[in-house]
Amino acid sequence: MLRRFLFANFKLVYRFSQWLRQRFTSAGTLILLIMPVAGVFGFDTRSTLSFQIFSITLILLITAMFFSLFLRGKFSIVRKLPEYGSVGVPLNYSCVIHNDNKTEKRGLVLIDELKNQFPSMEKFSNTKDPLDKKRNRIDRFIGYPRLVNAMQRLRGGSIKPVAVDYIAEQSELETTVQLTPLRRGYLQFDKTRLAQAEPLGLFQAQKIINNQDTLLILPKLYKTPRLNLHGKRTYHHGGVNNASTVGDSQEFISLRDYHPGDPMRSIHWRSFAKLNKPIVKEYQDEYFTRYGLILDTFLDSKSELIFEDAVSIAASFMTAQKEQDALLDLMFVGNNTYRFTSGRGLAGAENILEILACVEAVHETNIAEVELMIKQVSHECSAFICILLDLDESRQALIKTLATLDLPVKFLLIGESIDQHSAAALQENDIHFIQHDNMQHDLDKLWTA
Amino acid sequence: MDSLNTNTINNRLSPAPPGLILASLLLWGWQTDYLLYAVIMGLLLESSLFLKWRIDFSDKDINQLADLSGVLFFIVTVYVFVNYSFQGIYKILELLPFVLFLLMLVQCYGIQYGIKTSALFISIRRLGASAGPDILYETNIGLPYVFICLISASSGNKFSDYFFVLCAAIITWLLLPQRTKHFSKITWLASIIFVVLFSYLTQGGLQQLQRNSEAFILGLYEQYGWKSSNPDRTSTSIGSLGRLKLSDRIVFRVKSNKESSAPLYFRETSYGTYEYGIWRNPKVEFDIVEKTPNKKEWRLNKDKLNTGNMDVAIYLQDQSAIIPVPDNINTLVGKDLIQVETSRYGATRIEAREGWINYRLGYADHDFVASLPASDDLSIPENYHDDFKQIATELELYSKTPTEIINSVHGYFKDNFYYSITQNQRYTKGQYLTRFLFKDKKGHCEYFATATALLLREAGIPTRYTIGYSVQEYSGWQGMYIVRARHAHAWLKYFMNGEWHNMDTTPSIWAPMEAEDRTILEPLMDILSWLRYKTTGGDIDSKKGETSNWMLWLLIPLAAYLIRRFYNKQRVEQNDSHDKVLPKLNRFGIDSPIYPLLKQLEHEVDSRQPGETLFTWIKRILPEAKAQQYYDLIKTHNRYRFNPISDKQQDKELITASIDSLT
Repeated sequence: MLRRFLFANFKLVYRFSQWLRQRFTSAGTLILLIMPVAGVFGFDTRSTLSFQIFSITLILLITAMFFSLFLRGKFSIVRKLPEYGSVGVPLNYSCVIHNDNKTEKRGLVLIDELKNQFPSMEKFSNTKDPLDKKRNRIDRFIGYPRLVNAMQRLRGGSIKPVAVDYIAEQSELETTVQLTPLRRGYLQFDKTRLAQAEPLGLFQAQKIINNQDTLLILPKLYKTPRLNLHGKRTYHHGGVNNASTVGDSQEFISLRDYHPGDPMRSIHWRSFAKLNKPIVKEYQDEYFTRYGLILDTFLDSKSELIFEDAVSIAASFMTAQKEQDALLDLMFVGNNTYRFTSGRGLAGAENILEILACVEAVHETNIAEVELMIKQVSHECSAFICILLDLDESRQALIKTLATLDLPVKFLLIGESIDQHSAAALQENDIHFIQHDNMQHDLDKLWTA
Repeated sequence: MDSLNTNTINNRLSPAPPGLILASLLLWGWQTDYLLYAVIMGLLLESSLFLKWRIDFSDKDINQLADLSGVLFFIVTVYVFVNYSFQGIYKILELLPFVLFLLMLVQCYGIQYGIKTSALFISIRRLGASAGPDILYETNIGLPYVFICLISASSGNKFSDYFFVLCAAIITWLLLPQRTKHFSKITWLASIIFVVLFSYLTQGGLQQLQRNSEAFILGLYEQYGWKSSNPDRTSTSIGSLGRLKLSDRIVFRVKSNKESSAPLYFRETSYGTYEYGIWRNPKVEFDIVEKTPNKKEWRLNKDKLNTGNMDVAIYLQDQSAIIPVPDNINTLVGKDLIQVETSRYGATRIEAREGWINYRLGYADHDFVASLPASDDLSIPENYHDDFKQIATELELYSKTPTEIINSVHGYFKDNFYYSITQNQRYTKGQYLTRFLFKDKKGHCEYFATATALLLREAGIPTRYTIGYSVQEYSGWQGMYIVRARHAHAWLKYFMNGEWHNMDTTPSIWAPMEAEDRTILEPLMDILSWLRYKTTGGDIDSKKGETSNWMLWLLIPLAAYLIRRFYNKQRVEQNDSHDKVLPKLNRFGIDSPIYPLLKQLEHEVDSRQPGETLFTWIKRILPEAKAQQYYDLIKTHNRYRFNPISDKQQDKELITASIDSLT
């Protein structure tokens, strides 16, 4: 009840603080802070003269806000976004501002905005914030800083305001804006504001232009070694479907009679015409390597950062293998069981990255479903890479299942630190531990070890 | 870009323009009489503009200085509260520029642009780098310092108009660099003039508003709150419908050096004539009580000596008030008292400052004698004549002696009436007492006191209706009696054998019954009341000329916090040093069995000199023949101890064997 009440109020507080940040300049914020202080000390006008400071600051702010009513004019803004961005890497895009007025405009500030998305109460309660450990008890209990962080993550990036010094009348100006993406997935652009400070420089008048766009941010990539798991090649019924450019699938062997179920396109029409019965072309069976990459999406008590690392590693593997002569299956369980195949002319790295950009962690255990999927596909695969977020009982069962398949499996466990008990389990099952703070270093060691 | 300043596109405050800090410090110094300090501080800060050198303070240095400023502020706060109580808040305000001066110095002479937010807030500091750049920026505290100087200066409370002008000038100076340059200077100037004029009017308006609202609230308070009793008349609740609303508010406190088992009656005043729910007196004249020749006390009864005394603290709404006093009051002493007066009806009126005041009240064996009875003290309202005549006849009062009358009236009320603070039925005016006496037979103290007084008058005994308080609730944690508004009581005085005596026919259940109505907030309100009482100068326990130092207790949590921090710090350092020290070398051979023998020799013969080898030492302390026996042993020991490639096990065995043979 209290949580719900606090949460409802957080929204108001958050919106208000955003408004303050966007509207007041730094000097304006200072005056805004001083005003109540002066007011409190000046409450008794007989004791101090602080009420005089209060009245000056109050009138200053009222005057400044009054002036801000007079930003008139018509503007339109077009955003030119790149196709993709990558987490943590600042990207530049441009905004074209049209000044449709009959007068020139000076001293504008362009503030581009990503959409503010409030997490649901349930999602907020489930979110773990790694910074919470460092916060004091009150902050942890009240949870407002956690909300601010969650909001920032949902928003997904920060955009620097850009000063637009001058736009001539009836003309346009292209300006570069810098965005630093903070998370993968689709970022939603919401509004663009054109701000102009009033003469005193305390408050900003704003023109708000609705300007919605989306931008896909791909997961962060690491340098990963080439997969080198010594699995045998397995048969894949493919034909051109699965191997249009490489491999031995085009190898023609013979013609034979049609059997029900043969694809239409394998019919040899000329022979059909000659013999008046369907004859099909037979190709050599296909053998190539197919790796299965299993991504653990079940996040219980661990921090979301660990999951992000897992996604990054999965993405790194998927993109690193693209020139190799192998298929790579990405398997994970979200609302459903998913299996995406790339390599050998199938889905390109971009498609896989796009999928990975949108993978979300699930909070209910799904390991059993993963096991089921592995059993179904294991006959097609030559080897597995399994990215784990934890080493609890259900995962250990998964490890055992994979071990019984008699296929080479590489296990990666991602975490912040490792306790003694887990260390023993790591040794026993030949699991590679990848530390959150030391990802690249641990990945480099992966195949040299 | 010149038309934009950083002010508009990010949250970084620009530095204060040159000279502004000095100006604001001078204003502060002038207002608070710290002008000399202000000049020195201002010059120190401003001269950094002319000096080229800077100091590279580490983040840790700045954090520590910020902590020190924080601790300094806390100490100043506690000290000021101890010495000036809550009024000291203005004193703290006055001292703020001193407290923040260290940080300003660091900013002016450091290479940093400003002070990091993490230095100012420990919570951010804990987050470390993960707090993100939006939070971990450096803020130039120049402009905030200017404002702090202004607010501090305002506590000087002098030369209001000049202060306003100077304040407005400094704020204008501060705003000059913030000006948005694409607007003309005239627009800016016009806005500033507008702001100054309007804020001048506003500040005048604020003063006026305070005056008006105070008058309004005081008016409300007088209407509904407690106020000193009127010596001329008092309205009773006789005839009022509903339940009596009794407040838990603490009216006064009494600290007595003698425990009292029975409730003490503190009277305010007495009244002679009753009419339609109102007790009144003819216009009461007060006589000024002269101070004793040594100017120490007011003696109400010149012939009597004090047999005891008690300390009373009371909250005065007004500078002049009738105070509740016990009947046997003899003297009054108190630095807060200006004048003491008494009336012939037993009221004691004092003049003192408003708020909580305290005084020492001395009492004697005999009651303070009010005036002799007058005809008013025997008067019965026309409408009740028959009623009281009827009761007096029933009780056969006309034929009894005064003592018998008193006993019989006491018994009559005790046996036939009960206590109630609720009245449900409406009666015709002038019939309330009749109903009380013959029909309802229930009521609160005013009914009992009025009816008894009038009944005794019917029997020929002069009486006076008396109002005051019953002192009965002892608060253990406050160490004194507390008297609440609901302890207000009415009883009567009757005149017999040349003296006034108290008589209370209200069933003694009245106090517990009224206490049932107390709110659940009472303990909280008591604590608040106690805090207010402790801090506004009415504290009985604070001696004359001494300030109470109970606030020094606040230093305990501070000390505990500091100790904890230092303890933690030390622990970290110890851990660090533990890590830094090379692991202790496990020196081989120090377990040689020779050592106990050598120790024994040192003990028995002579100790080894510094730098002396084992050979020379043995040679020195033992005779040649005996020493010879030791040489081989020492040789083996040295091999065992220092030769890395010798067979250690064998050496050790050899040493043990040689020692055995020696001993």
